[in-house]
Amino acid sequence: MTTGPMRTGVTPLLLVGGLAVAALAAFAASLAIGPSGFGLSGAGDAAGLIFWEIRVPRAVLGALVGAALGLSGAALQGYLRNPLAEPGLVGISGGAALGAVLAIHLGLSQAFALALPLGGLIGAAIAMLAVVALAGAHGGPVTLILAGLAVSGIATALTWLALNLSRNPFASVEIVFWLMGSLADRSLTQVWLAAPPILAGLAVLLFLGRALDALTLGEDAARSLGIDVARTRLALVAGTALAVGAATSVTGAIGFVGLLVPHVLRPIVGHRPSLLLPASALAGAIFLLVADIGLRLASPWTDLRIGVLTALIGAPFFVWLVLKTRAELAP
Amino acid sequence: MRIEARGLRVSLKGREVLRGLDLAAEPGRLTAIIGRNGAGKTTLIKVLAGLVAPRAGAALLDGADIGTWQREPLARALAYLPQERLVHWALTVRAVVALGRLPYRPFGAGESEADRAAIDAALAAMDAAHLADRPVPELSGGERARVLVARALAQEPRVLLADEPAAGLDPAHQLTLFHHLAALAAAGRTVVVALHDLSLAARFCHTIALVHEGRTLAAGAPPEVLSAEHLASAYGITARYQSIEGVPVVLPLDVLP
Amino acid sequence: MAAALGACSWLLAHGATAQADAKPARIVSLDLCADQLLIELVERGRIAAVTHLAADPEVSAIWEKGKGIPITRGNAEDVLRYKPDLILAGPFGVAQTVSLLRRLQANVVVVPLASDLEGVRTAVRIVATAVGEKARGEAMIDAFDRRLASIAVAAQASAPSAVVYQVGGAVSVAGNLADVVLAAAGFRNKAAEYRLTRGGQVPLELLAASPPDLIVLTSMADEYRTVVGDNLRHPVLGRLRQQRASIDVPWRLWQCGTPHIAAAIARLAEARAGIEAQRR
Repeated sequence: MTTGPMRTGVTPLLLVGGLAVAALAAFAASLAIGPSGFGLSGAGDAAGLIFWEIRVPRAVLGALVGAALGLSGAALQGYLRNPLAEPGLVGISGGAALGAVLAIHLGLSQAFALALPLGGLIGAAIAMLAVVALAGAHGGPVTLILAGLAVSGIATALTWLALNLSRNPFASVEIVFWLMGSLADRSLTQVWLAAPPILAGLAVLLFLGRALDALTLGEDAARSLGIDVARTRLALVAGTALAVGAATSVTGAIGFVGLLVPHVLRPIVGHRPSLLLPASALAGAIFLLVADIGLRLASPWTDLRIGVLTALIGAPFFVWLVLKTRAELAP
Repeated sequence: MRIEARGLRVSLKGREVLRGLDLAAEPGRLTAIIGRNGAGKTTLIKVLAGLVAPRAGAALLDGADIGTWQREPLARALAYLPQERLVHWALTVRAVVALGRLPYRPFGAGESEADRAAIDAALAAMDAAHLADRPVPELSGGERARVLVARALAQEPRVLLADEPAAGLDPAHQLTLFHHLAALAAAGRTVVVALHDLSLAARFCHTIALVHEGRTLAAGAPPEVLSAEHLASAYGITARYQSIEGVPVVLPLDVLP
Repeated sequence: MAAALGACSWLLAHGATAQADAKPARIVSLDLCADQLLIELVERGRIAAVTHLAADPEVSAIWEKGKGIPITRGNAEDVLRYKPDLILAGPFGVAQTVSLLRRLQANVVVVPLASDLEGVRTAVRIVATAVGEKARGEAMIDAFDRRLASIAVAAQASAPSAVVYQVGGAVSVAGNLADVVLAAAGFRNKAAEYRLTRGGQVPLELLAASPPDLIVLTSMADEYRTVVGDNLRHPVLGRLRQQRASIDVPWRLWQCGTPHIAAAIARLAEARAGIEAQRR
């Protein structure tokens, strides 16, 4: 990436540095704020227990999942050259949720704890491949969204089917978890399960910057600049499956983060895909942490799931984006 | 570096596009590839760039089959300028031209002095230095075309393959571009250009290859290739090849029945 | 279809006169709580069908007795094929079916939800009257009252606190049967002291910050191994259960307001005795 200042006068270092600081601040705030507001309740032992076993897992997962969603959204948009792409809309989160549900209800995660993130991973990978197959590498924005809807619809229906078949009396509560996401009452167990694959996925995706920059000029020009597009595609699938698959398996499907964050940051990073990647990871973490803090503070008055909140913010934004794209496409 | 095609056979979507095509482009020369729409010019350029693998025959770069070249050295040696002027994101002009330096920058490296120099030189050559901070979507078609050529120039390639680089440019910029391409060739590079404008080809190119029905119908100096006979076979037109003030001009007259 | 028409016409002919006859002999129940009362008040031969929940060990206190009885899915057409002369329904969820059945002149008795001890007695009486077993109903209530009396709880200001903690963080909100059961066993329901969410859930953090003297769980079965039960497997809850008293009272004992809640009250009273012994 070029190191000179961008139009806004902000250098890449300053931007990423600033976002990193903000992310740490959000993380600290998440540790410090609970259902009764600022600070830790309970005395001595209880306070320690609450901090390490409740607050820390929630903050860590909020940061990791937010980063995974933001980064995978930026990577998908960069590769597909399509500003409407993001793991929720494109059906990847839905596939991951289905994979996780199957891992649980087929008893696999009882036998082998890692089966849970693995299920999410496989589900995400299959969904991704299905979408790419349906929309094609050269599909326009509309084709992509349609393919995403199809995959998402199938994944949701199969998830419902799986829950129904398992005679689970809480099937309807459970599907709300999978479809709307939740960071509540997560424990360190989930952190140990999900953090390694998420971090691995983040690393793989962050290395795509150079390739995504070259792809700005189209696939042929990128190849002639020395980019292995097939390997880029593979890395994208692997990275997204790891990051989004594992994240969804412990928090359910949270949508719109991967759509909003890259889009807001894009003008600030001078539209460069490579710089957008680390920026989106950090901003995604900030966004999810702040949203979760907001939910916790509002908890006596509302029962909102985190996915509902991101949808309330993200869906109108998506509508605006669709209208804007349509206007640009229209003759 | 010499780039050549030997007996290329390429099929696309079931249709045979190149049927045993031979071509040679020497360093120090500006070589034109001409032919009617659908003759296979773009496919030929892509095979020479190593982007499409032929079914039979070979494309050779500096004597070696292009399929055997490693990706990185190939990217440093050869620059390809596609016909579609795609720039998907609203980068600044400078950022687009800087993409041409990717083959020289391993992962994570910032811009070096050499990179900056190459970028500035490329911008200057294409008369785009004053556009450096403008976002690409704000440019006119012609400005955009020049910026993309600058990207290819920034790659500092030994071989430049350009697919219709002058399409849509105004006359002044067409002439400037071709002057620059000719200068590049004179400096020892191999420049291969696919184009439609027969006059430009006649004026600037040392060698012209006329592609017809997947083969090279004629190759050589402009007057030989642009004969009435060849033009009639390849394009189905009658034309006048003439010199005006020392500059060769090809004027299409009429479509043959 | 023909069968349904036949059943309807039969009902219209006989429905109105059914009440004049002696005890109903083909009873259908559409509600789990009514199922349980019905099965204990009436001999098998008079029960035409009950819900599938009656034999479910998760939610039915008398699930063993419920096995082998024909099952109805609860929609009107299915109910009518049993040609019932009495239909017992619960207060929620079947309003459409009930109104349809009433329009067809069926004899439908709605058994109200019992949300306190008196409500339990009322429910028993209503079912007993409807099925013509008033005496057995009174006997059931007497047994219930005796059992309650034997638990002998005096209201104390220093009653220990307890909270029923369920899937998803749901707790025993005031006014529910669980709240009544806790009080009857001599506990103070601590749920009222927490800042609950709108859905009546307490965040685990608040529970851990100020835990009750007794944590009451409701026997998580295998199906709850899914994410909805994550809060019940949380290490913090495990630690709380080590530090405080905790007890597992199967949900089937207090899902419905039947006299079986006395068993739940008895177990809780034992736990309270244990806590008070420890205090001394």
